[in-house]
Amino acid sequence: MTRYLAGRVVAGLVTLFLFVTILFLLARWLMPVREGFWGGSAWDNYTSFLSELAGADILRSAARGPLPWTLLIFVFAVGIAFPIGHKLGKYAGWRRGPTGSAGLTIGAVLMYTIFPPLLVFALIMLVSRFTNDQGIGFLRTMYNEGGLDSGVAWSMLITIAVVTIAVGAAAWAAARSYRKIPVLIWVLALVVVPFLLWARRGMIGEVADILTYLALPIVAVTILVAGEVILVSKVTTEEAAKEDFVFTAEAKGVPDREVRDHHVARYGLLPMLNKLMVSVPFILVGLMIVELSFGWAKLGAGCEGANCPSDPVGNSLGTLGYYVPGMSSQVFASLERRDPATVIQALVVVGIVVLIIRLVMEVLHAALDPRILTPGRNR
Amino acid sequence: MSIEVTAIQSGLRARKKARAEAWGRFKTSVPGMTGVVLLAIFAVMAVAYPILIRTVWDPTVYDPETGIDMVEVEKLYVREVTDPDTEVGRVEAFMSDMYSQPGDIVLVRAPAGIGLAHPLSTDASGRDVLAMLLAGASSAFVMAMTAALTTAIVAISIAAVAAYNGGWIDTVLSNISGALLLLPAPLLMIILGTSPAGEHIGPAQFGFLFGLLAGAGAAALVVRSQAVTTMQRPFIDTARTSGAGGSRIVFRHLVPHLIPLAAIAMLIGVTGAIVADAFVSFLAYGENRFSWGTMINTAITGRPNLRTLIHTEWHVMVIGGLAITLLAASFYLVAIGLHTAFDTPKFKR
Repeated sequence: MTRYLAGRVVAGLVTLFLFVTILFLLARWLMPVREGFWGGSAWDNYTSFLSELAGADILRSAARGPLPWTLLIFVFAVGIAFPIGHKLGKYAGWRRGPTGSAGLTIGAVLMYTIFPPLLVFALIMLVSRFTNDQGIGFLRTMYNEGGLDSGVAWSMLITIAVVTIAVGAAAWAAARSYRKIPVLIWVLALVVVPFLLWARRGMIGEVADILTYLALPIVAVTILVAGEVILVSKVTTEEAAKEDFVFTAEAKGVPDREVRDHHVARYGLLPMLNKLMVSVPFILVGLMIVELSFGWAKLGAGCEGANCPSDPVGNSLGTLGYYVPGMSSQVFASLERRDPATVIQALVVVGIVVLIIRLVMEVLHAALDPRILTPGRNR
Repeated sequence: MSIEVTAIQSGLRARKKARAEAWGRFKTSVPGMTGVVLLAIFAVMAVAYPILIRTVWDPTVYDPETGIDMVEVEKLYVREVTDPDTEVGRVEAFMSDMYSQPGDIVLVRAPAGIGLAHPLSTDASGRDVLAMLLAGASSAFVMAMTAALTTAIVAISIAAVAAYNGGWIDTVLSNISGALLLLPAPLLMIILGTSPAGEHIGPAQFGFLFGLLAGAGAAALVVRSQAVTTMQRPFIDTARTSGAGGSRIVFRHLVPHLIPLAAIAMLIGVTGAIVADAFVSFLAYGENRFSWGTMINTAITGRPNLRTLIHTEWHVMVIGGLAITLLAASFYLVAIGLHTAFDTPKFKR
């Protein structure tokens, strides 16, 4: 396992280096704007670009600012969308035939391809209808009270990570001792234990504030991600349903439902994880577009210039006064300032986040399927 | 008839039969057929606008950017001008039209009723929504088609070169694709579109650049793995031992096996291009052309609050947004249909 992990880390570093180089080439081509930034030869630029990246402490400044919010939305959205999408995709993929699952499939495609501003607009309209509010006032109270504390966000993320690992280890141990414990109990533990821990540490109020503040973006991203997960889960279920052991199970007279849940769906989990690994960056892009759509200055705005409230990086907030303080705000604030260096730094942070998420998923994959730890013909 | 000719004929017949069977499977896929129908509708829309504006539609009314159709309404009250010297006062004086009295019929810019002249009504500035919808279709369609073709060609070329040569060429190309995966094409195209360089990018260039990035990134990785397995199949060795050269192996034996997968990858990739393109124009960048994103942007810009937007122009926002969503969805649905068509089941369930 250690060797495998080390190999993946080295491969990730090589990818990161290539990624930064490609970014450099693109930035040099596209953004010849900042005075003095691109003077000198290409090689000099490249080395100074690399040293600037290494010296800028980009991860630390991102961690203090926008990163935890984007991660929180990602974790909650994926955490909600994955189990639901996996279940629905299982149904869609199992019923084969001309019409069986067409409605669900088309619905999932629409969820995946919906234009994010339209989704955001619909959500805001719904909320303002039910709260009888001109905007989404109840959401922005926290911002008015003096901003968001990224420390709390980080401790939320760490709690979730620790609880997930602990529950996963417990489930693994239980499975090895052949004790049948319903999946529902593990899911409940995953959901309830973090909140109990936050309540014990006396930060449940802040957590509730943050979750209310991020509720709408989380719902929007959940819808996008769920569409993707349903489609991937449907395809993997269809593939798994062709395996010989499914034929055997059916021939033995195992009930249809049991074949679907115990033989097909479980077998399909691994290829599904593999496919989702490729779509992590695309999920992050969708997330950033949703963030931007919420924070878009002109949505419901009647104000201009100094009258508008603005966020810490200088984006105008419009009269809604609501924004998501995630990675996208940093990228677009620096785009507006015509500052390629900061745009690239933000993109490098996004790349590092994708690499780390991918590494986590690879470890998960290796834990679920030890075959990939032994390099050989099976891979 | 010689044996060779019969062999070629039977080969051709087999290919024809395989195609017919694939189409037969495609027809059974409801999502796929839905996608084809939607795409056909969008294609008709893209062609319809230039024809309509040259024949039936009066450009002063139906131009998506400058056309105006006023609505006749009964004037209910006269607004009092607060202070005629200030900017606001002058605007008010202009708006309040002092020559008419309450009870008169006046022309104003407002959403028109739904009728034969304006099947989808007009927006608050009096522009026809159907005209905007059709005008946006052509640029979106051109963009999507360019993006799709470029993605497929780039992905197939990279995959074929990598799989045929193998070795260090394969390693370098796969690593570059892996690195590009960290920077998804939609995000980069949004950044490019909102940067100063993006102001002069037309729909076709946008699609081409997107296709380069997406084709060299995710799509190339997917197609390459298929190409590597294809290269290991016996018919490649047969071709090689019977004296086929490199280009013949690649074009006659390798590429045909990559096309279905590349088509699926390209159709799924195009959804990202459509959303990215629409999002750039939604953010009011790239203002030199009209698109569905522009339509939504003008619908929601400058409304004092949500309530006024909901009561006046929500239909512009929803129609534009739905058009973008459905165009993206239609490509994805066709991809699902293709997946069904080229998916040969081991046994019928």
